[in-house]
Amino acid sequence: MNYPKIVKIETQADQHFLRPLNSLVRALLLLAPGLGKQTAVVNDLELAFNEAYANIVEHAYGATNKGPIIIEITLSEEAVEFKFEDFGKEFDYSLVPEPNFERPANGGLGVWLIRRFMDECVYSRENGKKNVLRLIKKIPAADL
Amino acid sequence: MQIVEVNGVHIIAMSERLDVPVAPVLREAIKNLVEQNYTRVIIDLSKTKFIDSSGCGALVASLRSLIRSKGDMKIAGPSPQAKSLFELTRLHRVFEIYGNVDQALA
Repeated sequence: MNYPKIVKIETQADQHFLRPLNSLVRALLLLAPGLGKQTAVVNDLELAFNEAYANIVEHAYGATNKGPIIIEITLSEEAVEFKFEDFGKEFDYSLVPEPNFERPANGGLGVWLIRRFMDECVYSRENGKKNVLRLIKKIPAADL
Repeated sequence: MQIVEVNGVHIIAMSERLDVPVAPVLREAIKNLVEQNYTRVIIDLSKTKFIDSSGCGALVASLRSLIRSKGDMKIAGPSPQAKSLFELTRLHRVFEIYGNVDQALA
């Protein structure tokens, strides 16, 4: 198979799409070179994808706005990249504080988990109207 | 999600995923139990393969609510993904975690 492979999806900001999208992402990740037997890494990537999509639905668009989300998944021999574009409110990941692990809260772990599981988490606001989030994970060498 | 009662303890068996669509359902179930003064709960995660941050948040909220009502909450049978997530987020220090429901009931 030739790499990189790119899958592009345009969907609505709707939490009901979260599970079908997660299933698709998981299936794609299992096709990626070097990831097929790395279940723990696939789990982490699925969770990071899940958290990023859920954040856009909840924070960028909110409960009533089902605006578009454009997702691009790039699988290469070296890395996996998730790119999300939405047209909701600005949501700067760098401004989200670290959770206080001494006082667990009912929320606030999502962005921390994304940062924990991905090697790069780059957010930008383009033309004052578009959020772009790029998440990159280098594929670790599999244990023999 | 299924709820059964055994000797005054309510066992809430979660399905395959404890995520954004299910988290509010769990919170509501705990709220209903507390309102009826049922405050001893086991969350059975033995069938749950995937938990996200909203699932963790719902578990923390449930625990808080039960403790406020002088009850308790135990977690039974978490998957490797769930255990790893609890350890990463230090929630394993907050939750009482058992290998299965029988151990949690003992």
